[in-house]
Amino acid sequence: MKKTLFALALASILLPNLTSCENIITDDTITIYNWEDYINIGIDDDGYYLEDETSVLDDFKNYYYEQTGRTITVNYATFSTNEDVYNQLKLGSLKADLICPSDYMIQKMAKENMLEEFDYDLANQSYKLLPNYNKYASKYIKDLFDENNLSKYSIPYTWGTMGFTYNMDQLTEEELSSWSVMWDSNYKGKFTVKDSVRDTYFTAVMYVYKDELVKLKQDYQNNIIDGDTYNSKLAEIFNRCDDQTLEKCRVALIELKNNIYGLEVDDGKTEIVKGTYLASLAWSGDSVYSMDEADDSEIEGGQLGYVIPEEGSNIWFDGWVMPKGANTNLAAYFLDFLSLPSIAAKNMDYTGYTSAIAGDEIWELVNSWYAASEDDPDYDSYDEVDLSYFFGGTLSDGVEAKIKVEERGRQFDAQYPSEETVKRCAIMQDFGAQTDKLNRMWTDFKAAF
Amino acid sequence: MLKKFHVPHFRLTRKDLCIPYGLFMILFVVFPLLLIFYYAFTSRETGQFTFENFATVFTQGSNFQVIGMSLLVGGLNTIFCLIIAYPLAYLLANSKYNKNTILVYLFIMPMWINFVIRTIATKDILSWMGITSANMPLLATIIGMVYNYLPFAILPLYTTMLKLDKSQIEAASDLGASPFYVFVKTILPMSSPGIVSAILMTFMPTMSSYVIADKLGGGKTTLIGNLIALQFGSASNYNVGSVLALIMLVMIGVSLLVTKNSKKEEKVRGGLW
Repeated sequence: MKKTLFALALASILLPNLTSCENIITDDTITIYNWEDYINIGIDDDGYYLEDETSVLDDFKNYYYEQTGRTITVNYATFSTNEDVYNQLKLGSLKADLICPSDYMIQKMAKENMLEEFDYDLANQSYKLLPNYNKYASKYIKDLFDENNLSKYSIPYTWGTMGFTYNMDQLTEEELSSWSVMWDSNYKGKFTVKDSVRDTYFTAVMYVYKDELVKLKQDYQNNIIDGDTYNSKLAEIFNRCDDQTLEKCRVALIELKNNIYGLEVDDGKTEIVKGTYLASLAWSGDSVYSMDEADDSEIEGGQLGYVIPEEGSNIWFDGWVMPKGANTNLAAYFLDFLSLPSIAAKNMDYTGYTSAIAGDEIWELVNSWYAASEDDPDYDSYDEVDLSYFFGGTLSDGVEAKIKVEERGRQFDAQYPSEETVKRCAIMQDFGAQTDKLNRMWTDFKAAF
Repeated sequence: MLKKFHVPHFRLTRKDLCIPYGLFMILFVVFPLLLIFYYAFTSRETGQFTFENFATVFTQGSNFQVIGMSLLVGGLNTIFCLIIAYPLAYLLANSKYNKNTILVYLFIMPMWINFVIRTIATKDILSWMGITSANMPLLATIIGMVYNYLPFAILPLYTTMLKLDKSQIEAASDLGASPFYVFVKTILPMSSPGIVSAILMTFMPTMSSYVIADKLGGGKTTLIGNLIALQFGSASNYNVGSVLALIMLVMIGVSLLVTKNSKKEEKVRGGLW
């Protein structure tokens, strides 16, 4: 009897504490799902609060209060794969106002009518509720989204390319100028690819249709076709997924399996620093991480570089979408806040991934990272890179989007590919009805021994 | 004062003690099983009853390749574990070599360290020895498996070896049996329950494990566990994944039945012949 009473008393003390971590009632609540380490939450890798840094989420609460006079709670959670989010949305176990999946998943969700639409005016490339985005987002990214019919469903957040992170002491950029190097038996056991079908499949497509791609590139270089035609033709080859292509790629991939070191998804970015293998198929963001690590590392692993083979490559992005039932107004407030160049720069500084937002603050950040000092005796010999394709129209008057970069083929090129490079990069479409066949092909590849 | 409270009459019976586990079992064993059955027999597009998923699995040759590979890796892992663990357990059970059972703890200590860390460490050691996913993915996988599951083979063997009837062994050699016959006729039959549980403890988890094959085999060796993870993950095909899970369930079930039968046989024979 006494025990029961005691338990009841204990429960009455403990329960309210357990159930209501945040007791403050706010006017609004927004729920956001994002990748891990993909926004500046003011905490470093070891879980300590950074000095002089506030969480972007807290900044948003203040911003929202200033704008509307209302208070807001931000429920922020993370996910680890696109498929997790998709499956959870389908099963109805996830309710959110904003989610940040990758390109192909956005297309898939849009196709399956899972998303709310943004109020978008295609002719003026402007969103009704996103003035900051309209002003500061890169024209290049906006065009890319329009071409792929994504603007209605998604607001780009980060973007990048795929290429090789490689050991500059042991391999040259020249050797890695073609994807076929992975199939070359002289380089047996020196490469890794991604253990995910979409990221590795395209390298096989590039290999199988190499002749066609090389010819296309020559035509472009000899001015037989213009840049846009080149890019759209390349995108067509890049996205081939018919039965014949699948069969060719199956054979190519099984051949590849015996020539590479292995497949990985997340080990690669640290293993390459240790020198376990010489080159690794990598996302540009991960590559920047590896290069930074190698530069700081005490181990004699050699300097790392980043290269995108000549045939062409993937340009990827992650974008914000609003699943059905989302509060579109709140979502717009948050996205417009993220589009402020100062906030975008803060996130980019923290995550290392290239923002889709341009503007002065981002440009200054890029300069602080990569611009060569004018006092440098070799200053004149450095390449001047013109990034106006990306920054054009978003910088203050008189600021030119040109930068003298000391080291090419390194972090800078991974974060901001030149205009020539993005010409040979394409967005990977959702493969639609062929997806099952693609997955079957991948199973064959995985099972092969 | 306390008398004022009316407490309903409640007596804890032995049956009630099962309630926690009963609830646990329904939630985490029965319900997920039903879900697997549901997904295996319904179509992904329409949600209607269908055998289509089974057809998808059985018409693709590489699925059989993967099942074969799982059986191979599972079998080899079990054999190697037994070869290493059996003599070791016999020695450990002998107090002459194993005072205070400290040695036993030494051998099962790897189990105290996180599984993923162990696997990554094995990978580094093996690559230092020149065995990597680049040249020998299968060997690397099997070494990793043996390393990880060896304690699970040692423990049951060790406990049965402790209970060996020494007088039988002595009697056998006194009556003139050669050491080989002593082993075959007394030690082996008496330790067979340990062998059976050692086999189960190593073979079953090998079938479903996928981290070791992923990390050590560099994604080149694919076991049925990897395939299931693939279907539930990037292929987001729960239905085909469930069929594969059922196949694995059947395979493990069969291995259980086989070992159960051999146990019965051993009982009938009285453990001596």
